[in-house]
Amino acid sequence: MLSGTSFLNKPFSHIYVEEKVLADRDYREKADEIMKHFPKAEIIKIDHYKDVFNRHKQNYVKQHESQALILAVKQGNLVYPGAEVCQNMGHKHFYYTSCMMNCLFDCEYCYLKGMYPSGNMVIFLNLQDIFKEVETLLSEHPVYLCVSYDTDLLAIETLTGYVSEWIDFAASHPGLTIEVRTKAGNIDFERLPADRSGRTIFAFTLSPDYVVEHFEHRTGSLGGRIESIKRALDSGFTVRMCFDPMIYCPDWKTEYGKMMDRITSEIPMDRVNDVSVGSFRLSEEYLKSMRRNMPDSAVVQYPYQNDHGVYHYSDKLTEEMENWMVGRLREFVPEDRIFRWEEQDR
Amino acid sequence: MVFIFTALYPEAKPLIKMFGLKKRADMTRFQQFVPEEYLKLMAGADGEDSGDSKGRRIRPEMVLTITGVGPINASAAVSSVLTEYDAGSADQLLSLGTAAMLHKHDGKELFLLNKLLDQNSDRCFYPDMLVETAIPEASVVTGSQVLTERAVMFLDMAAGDYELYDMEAAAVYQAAAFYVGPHQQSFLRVVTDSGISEDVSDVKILAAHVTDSVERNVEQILDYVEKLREISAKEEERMDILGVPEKKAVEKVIRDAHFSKVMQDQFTQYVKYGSLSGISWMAEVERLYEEGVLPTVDKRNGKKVLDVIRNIISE
Repeated sequence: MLSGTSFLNKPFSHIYVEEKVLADRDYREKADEIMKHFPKAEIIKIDHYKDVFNRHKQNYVKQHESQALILAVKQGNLVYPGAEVCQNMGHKHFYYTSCMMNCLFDCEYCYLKGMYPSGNMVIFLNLQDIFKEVETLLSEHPVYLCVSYDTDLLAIETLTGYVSEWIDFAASHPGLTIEVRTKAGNIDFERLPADRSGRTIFAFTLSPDYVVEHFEHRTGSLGGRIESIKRALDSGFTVRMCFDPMIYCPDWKTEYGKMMDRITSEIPMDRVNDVSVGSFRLSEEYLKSMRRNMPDSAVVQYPYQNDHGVYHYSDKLTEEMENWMVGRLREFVPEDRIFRWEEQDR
Repeated sequence: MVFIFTALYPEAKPLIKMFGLKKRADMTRFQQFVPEEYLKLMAGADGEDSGDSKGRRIRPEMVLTITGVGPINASAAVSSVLTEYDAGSADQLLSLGTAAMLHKHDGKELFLLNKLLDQNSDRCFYPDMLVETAIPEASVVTGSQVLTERAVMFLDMAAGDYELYDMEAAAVYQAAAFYVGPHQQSFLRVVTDSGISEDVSDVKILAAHVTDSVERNVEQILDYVEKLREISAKEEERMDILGVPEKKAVEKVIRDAHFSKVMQDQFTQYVKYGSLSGISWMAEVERLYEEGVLPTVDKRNGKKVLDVIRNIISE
């Protein structure tokens, strides 16, 4: 799917910086820390990140190939109630936050490609403001917060250090449980603070080699992700496995079967906190935009079924894939720790 | 296809020469230059719109247009030409021109613009910077008056962050944005002066100076244009999933199976996915013809054909 054009700029060859960032000492320091990783980058001063991120007629795919970085200060709401198509994993007060927008990884089927107008990455530097908003929510009730939904924070942890900051924040706020979702491989958990609270959940999305190779560009290999899980468990972190989204591919049962054999032989499944299962689903609006921008992507062009504005595999295939996966998992994980995305979650 | 816009003929002259472009005699509003082969092809088509093997209207690989000076001329020309050639998602646009230097820049002459300020509206525009090049980057203020040496002193205070001044860039961006995205627009400027002194009156000398300045940098400009051509060609290829035989087969099945509009869209989606996944849906279609399932007598039987194709390619 990638164009293969050799003369495109490398990611982060251009960094757009909001004037607000440059005017504030703390933001400026954080921005300088990030920018020092890219000494040759062209720095372009902007008024507001939306001047670049929200332009008309952008092409997510083209931009993602030479992804620019935008450093900004987020305003307005910073923490949102969980989306309907996301699993709440049994938590009543389910929220998510975006301290970054877009991802270093390049999964063809990713909803970000339909949701955002731009393929460029935005890092918001006012993490402390997000912390304050979470504290306000915590004063009312416990909070289950996904901090790595519209991005993969671990993929650029060396740049931002945000995962470390979230681990420390969760540890010092008893009502808070955070989920850090990732497709990164070979993560160095030694560099992260120890999780004293057990309320930081690392959620690893796992896909068969075929899916990783064909559709999840730049992500960690299946082997790398398995290695990350083992390291997370050894470092005492809570681990969740996400078989969500399951992606249909020719001979999917063999591909997913090989993956499950490998996972269950290499990972002590009894130490895994819980697992989630769900097949690919996406809002009509997002998929339309993705089909326009990715005419050559098989996973995007698959003839999904549209029910009330949500595209998904046919009911028969959905049942077959998810039941198969749940069946395999039941051999290793107690039923009450398997979360399947159900119709009523919508 | 690559669209090139310059304000003046002297700016375009070196490129017209290097690419061997010829003037379109039938275009009187804005001067247009296209490859000679295109002119021959159009002459052979007896003035009628001709199509390529895929049934699309033939367009030149490149068209260079002289817009005239200033934002109004530039936006009128851009809008007219992009409409005329039906600019689309695979096309690339290059605005090439000259500019005045507002601040010293190590004696460099050629710049790729990354930030365009419209002086009239005070709005900023940002073309995507996707192409790797050794050409240094700069920001520009686009105004509607020729910059005098006196005005430079004023701009030095009012637009201290901007390196260049020109009269078209922000206008070209705004007009082109109705047709193409920021990833399809590039802006190259050759610095010719630091504001025109008010006593300059010899237009011929000025024109020669502009041509010389562009010529000194023509290699880098050509290299950039070549990259745009390659990007455009690759994008064209990427958009075209079905080959000619597949497209013909799709049309035939749609006709023979009496598909409704919704069924047509579903069928097209099935075969698109089938082709991308290496599933031989064409063989199945042939089998349906051999078995007499196709052609169908009505839409109801067409539904059965649709089900067969869906089952093959998706489950």
